[in-house]
Amino acid sequence: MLTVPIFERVDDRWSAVQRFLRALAPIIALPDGAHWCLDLSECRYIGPDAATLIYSTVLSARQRGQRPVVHLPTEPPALDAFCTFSGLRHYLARGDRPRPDHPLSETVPLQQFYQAVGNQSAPIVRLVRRHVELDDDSEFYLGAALSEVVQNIEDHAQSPIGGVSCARFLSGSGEVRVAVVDRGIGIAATLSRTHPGVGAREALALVLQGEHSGKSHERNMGLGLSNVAAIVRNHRGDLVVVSGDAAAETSSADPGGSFHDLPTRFPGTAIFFRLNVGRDANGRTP
Amino acid sequence: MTIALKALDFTQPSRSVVDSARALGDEVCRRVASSPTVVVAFDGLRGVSSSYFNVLFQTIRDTAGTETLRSAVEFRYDSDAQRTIAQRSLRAVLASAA
Repeated sequence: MLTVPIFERVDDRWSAVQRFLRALAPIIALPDGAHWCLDLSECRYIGPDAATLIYSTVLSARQRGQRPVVHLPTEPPALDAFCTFSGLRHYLARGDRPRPDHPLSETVPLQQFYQAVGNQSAPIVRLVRRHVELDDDSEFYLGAALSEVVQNIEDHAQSPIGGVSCARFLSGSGEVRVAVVDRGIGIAATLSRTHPGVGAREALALVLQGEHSGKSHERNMGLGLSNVAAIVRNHRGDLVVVSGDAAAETSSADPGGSFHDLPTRFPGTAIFFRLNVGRDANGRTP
Repeated sequence: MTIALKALDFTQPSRSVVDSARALGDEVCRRVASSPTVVVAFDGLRGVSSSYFNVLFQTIRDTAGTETLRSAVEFRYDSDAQRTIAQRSLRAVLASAA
């Protein structure tokens, strides 16, 4: 049995997610029927990005007849609480069901989905509204950003596990962190239908620029991810897209974005975005 | 006579976003045949992507024609955010018909 221990914090910064993806790579490469253990007992921070990567890896493993075991951390208390509120403990270790309405929860639990439906963003909006006022524009943008990512999975990904999402609100900074992961064919494979031979990095650059679509359906106009990018840039936020052999980052500070080749291929697409819906240093909302 | 439709009346929490858009688009097409102007109000509509607007506009364009989409249907938005996302879709749908 392959055991992968994680000692580092897997916070929601791209550098930490990158290290975590490298650590997961040997597990992802295992053949059908393999036994493996992801030991997070010494890990001291997990956020929505890591939670979605872990849960999607386990769901994919179960579909492939693998026998995954995940050891979750029990300290510090805030991380123990996140493991409960996110549903990691329930879905991976048969713990209690997550209670998103718990007064201490700042987390929208992990959710597996196959379709974009009308109320997908409602749990995030409810969570944010428990902590801060949310104006109409911010509420619409938050829901639209999530809906764009979910619709892309429904339309293009062909993911055997559908998609997995998780979100967290940090009341101290007024920041919403949203993570959505699928195990589908990836953005480059989708875009290659209309852009033959397109590489992974180029594909990410094109979809973030907008008006480039793989046209899985006639309704696809290539606006989804470029809308998400525009929304995060206008909300002092950032966006990371990992798909196949490449990753892209863009933010309000780096609107042009930066693009990277990945040392190990990710079998699907992971989208992590942060929006700031609180007031800035001058008391202004986004 | 002007007919007013509320987008929210055609959405359900667990219904697919694109099915909701198609249902609204079909209703617009039915009404526009008997009324010179149809107003579609998006008050309170949240959690929808560009695909929602793409499907709505494509349904009207494909059934009632581009000119109807351009001039016989008025879209009323309840926030700048809604307007921004929707109008980007409208431009793309009109451009793809050209």
